[in-house]
Parts: sequence; C-alpha cells; structure tokens
Amino acid sequence: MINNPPEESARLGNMLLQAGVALIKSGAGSNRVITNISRLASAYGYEANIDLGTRNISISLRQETQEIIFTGTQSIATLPGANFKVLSAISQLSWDAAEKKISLEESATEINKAIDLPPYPRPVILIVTGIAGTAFCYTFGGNSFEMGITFLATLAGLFLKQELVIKKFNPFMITYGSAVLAAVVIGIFWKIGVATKLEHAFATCILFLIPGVLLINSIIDLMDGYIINGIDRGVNALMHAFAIAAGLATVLYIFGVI
Amino acid sequence: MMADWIDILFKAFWCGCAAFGFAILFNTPARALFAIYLCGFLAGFLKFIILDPAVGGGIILASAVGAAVVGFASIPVSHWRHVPPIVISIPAVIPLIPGSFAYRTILGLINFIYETEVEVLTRTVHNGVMTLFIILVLSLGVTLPMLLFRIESVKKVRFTLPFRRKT
Repeated sequence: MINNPPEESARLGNMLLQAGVALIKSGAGSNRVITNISRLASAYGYEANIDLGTRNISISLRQETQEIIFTGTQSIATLPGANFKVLSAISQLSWDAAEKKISLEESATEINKAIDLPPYPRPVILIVTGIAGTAFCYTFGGNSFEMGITFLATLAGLFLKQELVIKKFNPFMITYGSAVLAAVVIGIFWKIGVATKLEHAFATCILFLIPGVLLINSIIDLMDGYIINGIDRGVNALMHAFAIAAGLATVLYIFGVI
Repeated sequence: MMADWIDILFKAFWCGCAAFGFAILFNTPARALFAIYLCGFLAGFLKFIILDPAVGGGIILASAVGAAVVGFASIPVSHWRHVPPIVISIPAVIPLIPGSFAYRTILGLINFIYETEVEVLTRTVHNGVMTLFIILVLSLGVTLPMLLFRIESVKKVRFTLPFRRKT
C-alpha cells in the first residue's frame, strides 16, 4: 500500500467519483453526498475535498503527509431523478467501510452492484402509483367513481412518462405531456357526461408528477448553506410544478370545464 | 363521534397507501416499505385529527404537525431499517401535499381571464398563498430534526446536559 500510493489513490478517487455521481443521480442532498464521500475516503486514510453542483462533482484527495495526489471531475448529462435503492446501498457501504474495514476492491464491486440494482417491475410501479392516485382522491374527498377514473388517469399518465423517459425527451416536456394525458382521461369522462362534477379527480390525477424529492432537497440544501444548489433544485422543482399546472390548464381550457 | 373516528382512520389508511405508492415510484428498498406505510398512516392520522372540527386546527398547523412528526419518526425508523432518514420521510409526507389548493389556484388564474372581479383575484391569491405555505411547512417539518439536533448522521445523535464539565 505504502509502496505504491499513486495507483491506490487513483483507484479510490475513481471509485469515489462513481459513487458521487450515483448519489447525485439518485436524489441525495448536497450535505449527504459530501458526508458519504468523505466518510468513504477517510475509511481508506485519505482526506477528500469536494466541490459539488447539482450535475457535477469534483474530488481532490490528499494524505496527511503529501500534497494533493488525486483530482478528478465528473459530470452527468441528465437532470437528477430519484432512486432510493442506490442511495441506501451507498450510504450503507460508507458505514461498512468505516467500521468493518473492507478492502478497496470489495467496495468497488459493492458500488457497481449498487448502481446496477434492478428497479421494481414496470407493471408493479404502474399499479401501485395508480393506487396512490386513488388514495389522494379519497383523502381530498372524492367519491368512488372519481377514485376509479383517477386510477386510470394516473396509469395512462405514468405510462406515457415512462415511455418518454426511455426516449430521452426534455424532462419538463415529459412532465407537461404526462399532465396533459392524465387530465385528458378525466376530461373525456367529463365530456361524455357520466358525472357532472369531477373537481377532485382533476385535482388529484396529476399528483403523481409532483417533484417531492426536489422540493424537500431544495429546502434541506438551503438550510445546510448550499445556497446555489438549493436555488438550483428549487427552480427545477418550480419549473416542474409550472409544467404540471400548464398541462392541467391546457386541458381545462380546451374542454371548457370552468 | 364514532363515525368521525372511522372516517379519520379510513383517510389515514389511504394516506399510507399514497406514501407506499410513492415509495415504489422512488425505487425504495423493500425493507423500508412497511415502515414508510406506517409513517404515511401516522402523518395522515395526525393531519385529519387536527383538522377535525372538535380540535379545530387549521390546515397549515395540521400539515406542519404531520410533517414534523414524520421528520422525528424517520430518525429511529431509519436506524431500525438501515436506510437514510430522507428515504423514509420524503414518501411519507407526500400525501400531505396540498393538491386541491394548487388546483383551485390554477382554476382561479384561468377564471381571471374572463372575470376581472376583485373577488376572483382575492380567492385565487388566497389559494396560491395556502399552497405555498403548506409546501413550505412540509419541507421545514421534515428537515426540523436535522436542524434541531445539528447532526450530520442519525448514528451520531447524542443527548447531553448543559453546564457539563469538559473531559
């Protein structure tokens, strides 16, 4: 280890960059990324200095006795989403590395494994999110018919969203398009006259699109003093909220619900 | 009175379902799903109890209490399920999002195109302000334990007495 420090530091540095990018992508707040990376680095006897944006990370590593021995930067093309499996796995790994002293190779394979963790099957996500939409409709005071069509609308909207994400559309356009489709489903039921008052269904069918992770991370970042990142996430969340509102407004305007 | 309790429990049950759905959407590890359901249930239960006319708290107070309790509960729960606290708290507070206020704000804004009366404007701005404040208290409620305990990790929570001797 001491005989060949440059190689080890480079491997650790690249692993940390990989972990940092995975954390940013999976929706971790700035403070969480920095503590996790620093904990991993100190587990192997290095001190990490990190410069963090919402789409890029730079890490400099140093040991007590030496000058800076590794510097690296990595950026991601897409805006961050949410993936709590990756978030939990890397957080767990940083503790394991600090407490159980696992080797660098093991850590690297663990991180690769964490990034490749499979998501839930697509039908499960669709149905469970549909049930979440139904639940919203009930808590806002909707009746059982409204709950049923909210389920259908959420299903259609989320399906479109998943398809557009695979085709790599602009994220705000994805949100707008999904909101339009979900509201159109309710609008059709309203137009054919099965029910006259579908206020709760219109209000809740687009709620699966709300950027909850961004909103809460924005406040967390602002409170932790990462003002730039907090504003970045906050504006991002506001644009998503605006896209949802615009989608809903388009449909309400065209169908003349008001 | 009995019917009220059943109604509150039903709403809380569905709040838990909404939290569970969002947990799946955010790809949460399976070991945390049940805990998230319980936290969502708790948030909804407290919100609708405070909203009950017999208690008489407003919607903002109800949301704030629900979010803060989820924020505090997420610390022991995250310890129990070995996940970071935000993994628990974010899906659990999502059922408290003020969807109908946001909807009425949009509706009011569109209405304002046709009807330029003061009443439409005041109602719309009122709904908008309610949406804003509720979202604000939700985020602050969830971050409250982090701010109060000044911690960087749930594993380092320590309680100490004031005026302790330096060791």
